Amino acid sequence: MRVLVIEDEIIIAEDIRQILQSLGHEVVGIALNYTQAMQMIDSQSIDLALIDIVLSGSKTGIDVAAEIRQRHHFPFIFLTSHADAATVKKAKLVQPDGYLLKPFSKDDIFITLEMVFAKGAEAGKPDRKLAYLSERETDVFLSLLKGFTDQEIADDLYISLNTVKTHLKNIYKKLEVKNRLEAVTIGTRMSL
Amino acid sequence: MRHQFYVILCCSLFCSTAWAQGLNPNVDSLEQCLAAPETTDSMKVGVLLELVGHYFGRDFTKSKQYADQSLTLALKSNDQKGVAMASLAASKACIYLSQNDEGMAYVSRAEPLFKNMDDTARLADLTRFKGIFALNSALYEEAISIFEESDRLFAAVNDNAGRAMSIMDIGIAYLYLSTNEKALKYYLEALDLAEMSGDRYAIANVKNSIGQIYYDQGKMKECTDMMRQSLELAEQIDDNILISDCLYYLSRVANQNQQFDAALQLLSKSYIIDSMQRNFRGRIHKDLHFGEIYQNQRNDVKVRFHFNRAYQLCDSIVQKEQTESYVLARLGSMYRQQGDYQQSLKALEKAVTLAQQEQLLDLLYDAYYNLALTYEALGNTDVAFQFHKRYAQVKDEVLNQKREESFNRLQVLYEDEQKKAEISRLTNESTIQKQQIALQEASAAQEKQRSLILIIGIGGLVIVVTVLLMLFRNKAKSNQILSQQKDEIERQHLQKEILLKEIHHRVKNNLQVISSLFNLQSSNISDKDALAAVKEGQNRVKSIALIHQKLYQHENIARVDFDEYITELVAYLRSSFAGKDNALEINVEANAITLDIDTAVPLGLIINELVSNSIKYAFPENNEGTINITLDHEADEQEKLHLTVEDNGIGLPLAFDVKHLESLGLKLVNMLCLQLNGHMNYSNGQGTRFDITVMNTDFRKQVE
Repeated sequence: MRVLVIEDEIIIAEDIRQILQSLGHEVVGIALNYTQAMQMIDSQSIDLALIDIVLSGSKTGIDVAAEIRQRHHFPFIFLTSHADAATVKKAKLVQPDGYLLKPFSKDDIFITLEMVFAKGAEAGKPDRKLAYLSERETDVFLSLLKGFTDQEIADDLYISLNTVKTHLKNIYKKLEVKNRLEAVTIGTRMSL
Repeated sequence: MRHQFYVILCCSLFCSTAWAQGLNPNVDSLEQCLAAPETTDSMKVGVLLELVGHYFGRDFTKSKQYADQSLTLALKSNDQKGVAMASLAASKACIYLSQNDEGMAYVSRAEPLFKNMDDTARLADLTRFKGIFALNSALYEEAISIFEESDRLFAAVNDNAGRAMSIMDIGIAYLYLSTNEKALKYYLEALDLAEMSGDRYAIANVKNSIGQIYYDQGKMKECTDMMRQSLELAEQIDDNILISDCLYYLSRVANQNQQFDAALQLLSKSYIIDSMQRNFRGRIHKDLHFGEIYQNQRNDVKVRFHFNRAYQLCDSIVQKEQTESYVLARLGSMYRQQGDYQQSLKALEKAVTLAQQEQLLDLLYDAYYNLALTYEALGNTDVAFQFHKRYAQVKDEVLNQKREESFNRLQVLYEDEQKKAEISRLTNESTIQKQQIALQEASAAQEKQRSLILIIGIGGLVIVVTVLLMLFRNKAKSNQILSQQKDEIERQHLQKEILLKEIHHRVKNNLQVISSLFNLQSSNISDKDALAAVKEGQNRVKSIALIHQKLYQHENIARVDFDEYITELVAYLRSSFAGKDNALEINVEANAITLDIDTAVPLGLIINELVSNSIKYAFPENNEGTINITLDHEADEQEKLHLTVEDNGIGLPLAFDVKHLESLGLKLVNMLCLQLNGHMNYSNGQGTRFDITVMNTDFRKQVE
């Protein structure tokens, strides 16, 4: 299996690489940030990605995951030291195929990967379009579900009103809805 | 002529009013009611008044008869209200019947009663009737002031229609005074009021009056417009008297415009209406007008017929002398024109007799003038000259009388002005006196005021000072609160810092435990390579632990002073490779650079690897040499950090290739360089030199 490791701590990434190699997988690359990850994803065929949520740049592993969900259809697993509720809630939206907590062992990685591959063709296919939302779009979407107005969302997330509007436009497009009400309905159905 | 006409006009206004009230009870049943024995007197008064209303505009004589009956009954039963109402009704009838003196008697009886009853609306009506009697008695100034009073009374009860009529009456009075412009002014004001009231009856009447003025001024087109509008309204409210009047004027206009057929047609309609209403005065004037039209058409027979009929009709009216004299003068003039001089003289002589009898000078000189013309036509120039002289005398007399009247009027006005001026002068004087008194009082008051101002000033000062003190206290208080809040924030910040320091301390301790575990483990290892590997691991943990130690020791908890860090790391490494370091000179130059943990850990590890390498491999023989470590910002790019580690040792092996490294140490350096978005160069000359450039955290965070 061709595995991409997305991890900003290069020593940990190398460790993962060795574990994966010892498990018989090929590591096609180590990406430290979103840009590198996207380059690697676009330039080669990948069977699975291991993704840390906190990356080196401004974008996060959730952004990478959303892109994978939207444009590619391979499975991915989060591998992170963050287990706080807010992070888990956001991670949940992109519907990862697994979630591993650091510190991890070789066995953790082995079992998780086996489970993912066992799903076969089912793996990597989200059943909802929510998975396509980027991290920031997810934040906006969650604020939307709280019943915030555009201005309140802007204040809440420390972004401009125009940015909120752009995010909302993208969210509606990705969720294939026409308006706020329909978007909220989808979110409520997922009991977010 | 004009006088008579206005009398008719005024009458028409009133019968219309009554008509507009529109009572049309079953007269028979009313009369039966009167005859019935059980009807009380007060009830009879009411019934009779209804009959007065019914006959108003139909038969004024009958209307007045019923009013009189009603009045007698009311007086008998001492019904004050009945007396007042009956008098009002009777006076109204008197207007039409031209019974001025009798009318005034009714007014005098009713006036105090309405005042007692506080019935302002009826009092206003009554006052206006009084004005009309004054007007018809040629007491114009008096009439004007009475109409002004009725206007005030109508205004008090918000009756704009009534006001319109009063003001129009004032206009009529001014018309008598030969001030047509002033009359028109009042008419227009009356029109405003009438339109404001929306009362079609009032609007129609005022427009009719305005039309008459236009006719007198020879403005035929304007007259036609006004009369047509008035006619339309009159037809809407079914006011036959007004309709007749409008038709009469339209006919006169048509006659002036030589449209005789149209004139006759209009006049016939008007005449029929007057006949139906038993309006004899109206018929007289209309017969005269018929005659004038036929004169223009040279139809002598018809002229004679109408003029004669006009004369006959004079018998049917009360106070007929004035009208009769006028009609006779017209008749005489007509006979002369037709060449029947004897008839002409007969008629004119009668006219003179009547005019002399009634002291109607206007009519008298008119009759004299016509007589002179007739005698002249007879060729009797002497008599003609005599009558001409009389005519001139009387006309002079009339003019003088008028001049005198107008002089007297002016005199009255002048005296009035004088009085007003005197009053205002006296008022001014008293005002001045008052002002002087006020001034004296003021200067006395000023004294008082000064002391008052002083007291107020002191009081004000006290208040100001108090306010300032309070403000100061408030400010001090808020300052205190602010400083308390600031203290609180600082305390919290300090607490947070203590907690962070605690965490870093624990992390360092834990790493120290790990390092110690390596150390303990190494004591049991005999294999040299294995021992070296454990040692490397221990040093790597130590170099990270040192970062945490520096973090909690540094005053800024987020950053590590790298000069201190490198110096301590090097000292530790020296000791860890004990036995080799004796002659080694290690120089550190880091220019007080501080780094956050995200850059400090990888960079610390890089320095650890490179310095360890130099210590271990650069000086295999004598351990004498120098290692220089420098860390600096790039001169023009602050986000770039430049690290050099160089030694004057034996240099790197010939087969060294940074891309294919076997040792973990340099591999790590390579990887960590990538993690820090940097790159590594090395040179092999006099010893080994590593040049590493990395980006700081802020820069790396900006990348997506």
